[in-house]
Amino acid sequence: MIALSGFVIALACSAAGFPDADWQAVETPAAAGAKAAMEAHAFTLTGEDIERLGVRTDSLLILHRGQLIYERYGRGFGPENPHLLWSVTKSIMGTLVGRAVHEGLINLDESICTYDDEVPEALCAIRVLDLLQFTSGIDFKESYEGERNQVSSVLAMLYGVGSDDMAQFVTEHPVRDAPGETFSYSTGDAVLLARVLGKAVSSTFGADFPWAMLFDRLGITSATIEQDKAGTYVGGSYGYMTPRDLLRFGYFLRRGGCWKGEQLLATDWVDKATVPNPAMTKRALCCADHDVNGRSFWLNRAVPETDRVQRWPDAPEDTFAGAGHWGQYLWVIPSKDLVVVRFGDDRDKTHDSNELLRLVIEWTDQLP
Amino acid sequence: MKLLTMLIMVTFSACGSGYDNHDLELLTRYRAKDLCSCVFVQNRDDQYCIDWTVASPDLATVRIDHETQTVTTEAMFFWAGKARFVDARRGCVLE
Repeated sequence: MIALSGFVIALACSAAGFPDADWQAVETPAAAGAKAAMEAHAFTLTGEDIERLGVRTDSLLILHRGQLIYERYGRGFGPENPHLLWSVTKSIMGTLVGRAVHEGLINLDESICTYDDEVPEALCAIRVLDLLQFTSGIDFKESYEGERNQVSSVLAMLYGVGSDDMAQFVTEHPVRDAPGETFSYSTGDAVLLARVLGKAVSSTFGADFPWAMLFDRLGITSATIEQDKAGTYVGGSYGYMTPRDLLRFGYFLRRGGCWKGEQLLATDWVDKATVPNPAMTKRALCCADHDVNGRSFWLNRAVPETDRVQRWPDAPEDTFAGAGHWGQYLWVIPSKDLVVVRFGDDRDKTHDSNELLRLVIEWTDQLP
Repeated sequence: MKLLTMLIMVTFSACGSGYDNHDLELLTRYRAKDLCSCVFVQNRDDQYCIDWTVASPDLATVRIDHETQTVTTEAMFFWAGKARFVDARRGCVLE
């Protein structure tokens, strides 16, 4: 019965409740204590800016029941400044794959070699799905804190020997694990996915496919996705957007891929992208013990099989996110009808994203 | 990614295993790219962007050219980076 009603809701893509030209800020009744605690947590700077200490929030925007109830900027940023998304870009690329699936241009279970003739044969066992959920098995060293710069595949790809043609650089790496068996978060997977996706969709949507397929449809006007010299989008790192535009993307996910009456993703796409991918229960090689990924989204679910714990224990289990270096977050919490964008420049470990979410929820739970 | 953490650890030894990139090569190219994007994509002022991309020790000199929309960086007279703003959708690309 519950599943059935969820199915019906997912099918009902209505035109109501979406922003027009821009989000209209809504005044909320005072909830002084909780709101003040949230603001103090997010916007209290420590020391001089150049010292890069403590929590350094550049913007915090909260969409509650589809209404913009909170918007504040810091450190000289404003509504007109696109902000570097770092790895939140991966969640956008992943959603573009969802668009391509919905348009019938790509199949998750197909070999990436079906779409990309530059991929060497040794990598043809990799499916589109494997790049989407970081289970390619390609031996790409994401980063090793405390090790020399020369060890990092990411630095070599973005700025070093791999930077002219990043996807080519990724495909020159050996296979370490059988595709689909091991989760290993990889910016290399995301860049290769950007090239595979581009080859699958550009004859239909052109080289500017992220705009034609998604950004223009959602009214996102501030987006930049940088490319390498070969013309591949740097789909794991170098996206930019204003916070208001990233809210549009988040609200699109919150509405299950519906925008103004038009269903732009399969009705079950977001649901499938926000449960732990199958490899999470088998073998997880990377990151912290709270890092659980679906299909290019970070989740708030424990995975006992691989000793993974909840990432934001004070937030609901259905919370999912795009998250990037130095404190970039797009959170969607369906059960609370919340979409939260938080940009920052956190250079130390002070920022506690669980505490921020706890305070946001404490405040918004008090709203009538 | 812990880019800055790693970039901060600038040393002069680049021998041994791993990718064939000197620390100062990575540093100057990182700085050119992200300084370019900070100014021409994020629309922040030059001084903010210089501070935002500075690594310690501060070995790179930078030049922001608003006319040609390029950023060049240099360190120890040998290592250099150059990034160019392409357009609003593509942002900056490393040359």
